[in-house]
Amino acid sequence: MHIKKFQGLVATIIVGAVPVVLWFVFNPAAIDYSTNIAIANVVARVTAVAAISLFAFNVILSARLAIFERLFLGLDRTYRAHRLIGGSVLALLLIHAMAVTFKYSSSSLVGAYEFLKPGTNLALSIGSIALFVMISAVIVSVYIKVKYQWFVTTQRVLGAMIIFGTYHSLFAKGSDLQLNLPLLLFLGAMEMSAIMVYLYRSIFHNSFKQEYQYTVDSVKSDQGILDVWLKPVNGQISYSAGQFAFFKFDSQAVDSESHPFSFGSGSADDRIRIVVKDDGDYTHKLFDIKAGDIATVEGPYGYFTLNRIKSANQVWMAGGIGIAPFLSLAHSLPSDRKATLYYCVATQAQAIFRNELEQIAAKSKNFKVITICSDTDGRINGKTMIDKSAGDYLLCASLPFMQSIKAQLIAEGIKASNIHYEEFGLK
Amino acid sequence: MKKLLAVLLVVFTVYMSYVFVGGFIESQQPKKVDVTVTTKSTPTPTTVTPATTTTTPVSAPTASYDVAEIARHNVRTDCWLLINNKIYDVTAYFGKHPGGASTIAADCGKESTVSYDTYGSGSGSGHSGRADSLLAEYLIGVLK
Repeated sequence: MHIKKFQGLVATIIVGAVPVVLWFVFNPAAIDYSTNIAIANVVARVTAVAAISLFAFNVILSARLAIFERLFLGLDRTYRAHRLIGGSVLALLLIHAMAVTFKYSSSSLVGAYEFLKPGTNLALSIGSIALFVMISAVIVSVYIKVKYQWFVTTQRVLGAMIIFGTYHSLFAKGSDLQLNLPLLLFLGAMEMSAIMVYLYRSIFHNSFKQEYQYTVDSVKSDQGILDVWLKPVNGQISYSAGQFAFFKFDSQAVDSESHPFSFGSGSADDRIRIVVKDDGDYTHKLFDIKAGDIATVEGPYGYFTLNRIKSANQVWMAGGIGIAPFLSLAHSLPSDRKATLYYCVATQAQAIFRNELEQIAAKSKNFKVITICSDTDGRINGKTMIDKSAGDYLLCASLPFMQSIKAQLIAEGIKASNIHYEEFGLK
Repeated sequence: MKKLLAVLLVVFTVYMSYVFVGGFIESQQPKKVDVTVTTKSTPTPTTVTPATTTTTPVSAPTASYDVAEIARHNVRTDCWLLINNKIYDVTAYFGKHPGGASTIAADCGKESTVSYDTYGSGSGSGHSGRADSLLAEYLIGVLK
């Protein structure tokens, strides 16, 4: 498991390093550190090849392919890697642009200005446009809190820049791809794959996973939590308890955006269930969906399952709406597994699934639920959760809460590799 | 990562604005060029002062060299290029070439028209008008 944890990182480093190595190995004449301009030239070219390779990889990662979910051990981690790689690509491109500019500006500001000004060279102009668009899109995605639909749009626009970047990398004057065949083959393959994936997903709106049609069977809400049961229309999705899927509702109540929700139903149920908290524009509107509305379900995704976390005795901790995957896990708990669930809420009134969970516990010797209301019992501490016989600890709550509990568990001697959580928001 | 990226974005914006605005302002100022072209039979590098003095017409070089003579100047410390039947002594320019020194070094002492016109790739377009003006400052003679 230790080595597996780093396989995504290793793959990313390889993607960035291979073109750099190819550049050095097949370009010995260009390796020159004798002057500042020569150094800037090396920096400009190395950052360019690394950036375009990682950019292409990042576009492919955004397609939710199963192979990358396995590589990064979960879709939440894949998206986290996607964000970090995206930031790194932009950083490399900013350095690339400054190094190229420096090569001209250190001799003459006029020369640099004439090199940079729009219209002098198509490939250069296209590269400049792509960089400008990427800077704008990253500022919107990372530094400004925007509506989800705007966020999705900026991600689509960012993905399109792979086409601009590919043109620039192939046709910019002095491009290494024109002079270095191994580099052209490697980067060409990366860029073409990324462009095809982008077009397939973003332009043709196709998914690499099968999609299922479901219809809303019942809707209930209580304490700002929506409980929706759906029944299949044309085939049942097969999932493991603890997993999630992307749901897109065809309803007058909500926009047709696709959002991830954990399954709250047992994996053997004919129907599927999601429980949703009202905490944003979209989820607020979701409260107006009605029986009969259609949902397209794409998935399943997620590694928060008993197939992967295999110890016989486990401790679970749910914070608020983080109860969702544990509803599914509790309903699906095999007889050879044991679990103690700490269900943490702010007030008694918010523990709306307490009765359901206590009913499961009453029927099963190997499942126990402890409800903790912070207004009367105080906040849960990792120390109180410790069970010497437990092999794994599963957490699902807000990220800061999970990180705090994880730190407390580690301080009590629990190994980090035995603490599992899945980030709830994929943005 | 967010903070690092923010710092890089600020540095990028400041630097590129300086280059763009500074370069634009400079490009609007009247050009003053003082170019001295030597035409001795013993070849020496052309002396060039960057564009800061009064404009004077540049007289065409009268020296001429054959291919054998040009081929003798084939190292970085003494580098001639033959481009469009004109000879340029680019020794002093090595450290300033945006494409790197190695791209020029490969052509020292040789016919370099195709390389110059295609950025060394053998096809496609070549250097800009500004590069042509810059190259002219290194002219030392014509092909015999």
